[in-house]
Amino acid sequence: MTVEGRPLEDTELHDATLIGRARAGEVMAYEELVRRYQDVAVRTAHLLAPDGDAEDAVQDAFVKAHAALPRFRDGAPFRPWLLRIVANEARNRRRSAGRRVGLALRAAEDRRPGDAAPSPESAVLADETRATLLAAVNALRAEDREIIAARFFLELSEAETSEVLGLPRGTAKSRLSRALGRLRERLAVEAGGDR
Amino acid sequence: MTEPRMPLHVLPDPALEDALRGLGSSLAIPAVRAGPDDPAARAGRRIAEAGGSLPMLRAWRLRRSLVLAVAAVLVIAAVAAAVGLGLPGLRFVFGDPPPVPSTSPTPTGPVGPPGSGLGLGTAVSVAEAVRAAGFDLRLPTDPTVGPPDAAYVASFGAVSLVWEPAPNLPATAFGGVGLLITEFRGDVDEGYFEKALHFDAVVTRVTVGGERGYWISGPPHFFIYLDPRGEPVEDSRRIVGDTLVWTDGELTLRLESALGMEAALGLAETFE
Repeated sequence: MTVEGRPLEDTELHDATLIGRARAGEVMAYEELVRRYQDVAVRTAHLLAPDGDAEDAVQDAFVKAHAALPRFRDGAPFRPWLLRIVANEARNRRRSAGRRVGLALRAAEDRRPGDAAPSPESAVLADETRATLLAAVNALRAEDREIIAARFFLELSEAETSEVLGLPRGTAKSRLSRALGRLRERLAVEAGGDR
Repeated sequence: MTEPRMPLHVLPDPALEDALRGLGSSLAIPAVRAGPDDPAARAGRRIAEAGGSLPMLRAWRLRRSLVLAVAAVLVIAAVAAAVGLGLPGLRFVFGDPPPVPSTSPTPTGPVGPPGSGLGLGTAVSVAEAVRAAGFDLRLPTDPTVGPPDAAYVASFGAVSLVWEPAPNLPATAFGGVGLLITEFRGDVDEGYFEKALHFDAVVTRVTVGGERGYWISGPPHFFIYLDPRGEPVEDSRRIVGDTLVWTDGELTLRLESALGMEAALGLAETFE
């Protein structure tokens, strides 16, 4: 289904073309549009509801986004708009499953077949440090975890983060700052209280 | 070299943020492989089943009825019109550039016989393909090409033969495939293949064994099979490269390769 070695066109221009065709009823164009973002969509769903089936959540979100496509504002970036729908779907699943926390983000050392390979940069973080940091992130409440995940695990921009999580820009900024503060507190406790 | 370990909670903000990014990239997250069962495709099927796919196909089909005369070489510029042309069981539709997948290339690992993963149908032996075809398969008699390395029979009756890359069959964009030939009876089945071509595609009219054909080159195009109701057969849909299509009696044949037009035509002339 893929072609190697072909330079990507300008992303937004290309998105706009596909959006136009998808709105005209071309499902194939819609598929190609969302396929461009399904990797980050699955990451988003997994980070927000790691116990669920991220691919199913993404699939449902893609169907919902298709129905919402007439309301997409022309000229706006498509990726955060789509990821917001994915994020909402993942959160709804998490809530309806009745799991308040249940966060099970795993580090890649217990990778299973089919998981994405860890990137070289992850190797710079010592295993022990990573485990400590992961435990502290996992122990945060959902609201804090989500914004840290959006900003640093998904590496979304500030603007994208606020759109995906449905927060005003200022709120996203202050929430992130408070979340990092609470993360530090957790880490300090782990480190033996020498704050 | 190990850097001095500073407790995480006293790291300056940028360092803590870097550590979080590093953690993010080391998280075990299920990988998605683009393909006919990825979330995009599954969502697409659900949307199509709910009736979402039909407007475009209907619209295209209406415009397609405005069949224009085919010039010797059609260079289709970006005009808002479709040109219908084709061969028995095969129709071409011009449209906007087919989307280029941004995902990883086709896996080349030992996942199956060459051509598996292209949605060609069920892998069978060549002998089984000959039996299942219901028509006399045409095969290249060029001795440098030899017998196919894999054969597939699709639910809709097409037979595909795949050769691995060889010195005289350069690899195509699909890992492990040097030559792909698909044969089907365009006259008996009400279904048909549809090639959705990029406006920039160049279609050159050719003859093979005295019968008409087309050489399609340029940007990759979609190749899909529509059933008698006009519904796309999902598994048949994929992106393909340079292709020669021609007829031989009741058969329509397509040859996909990285050979270029002259060599592809030369090879096609050896089919018996």
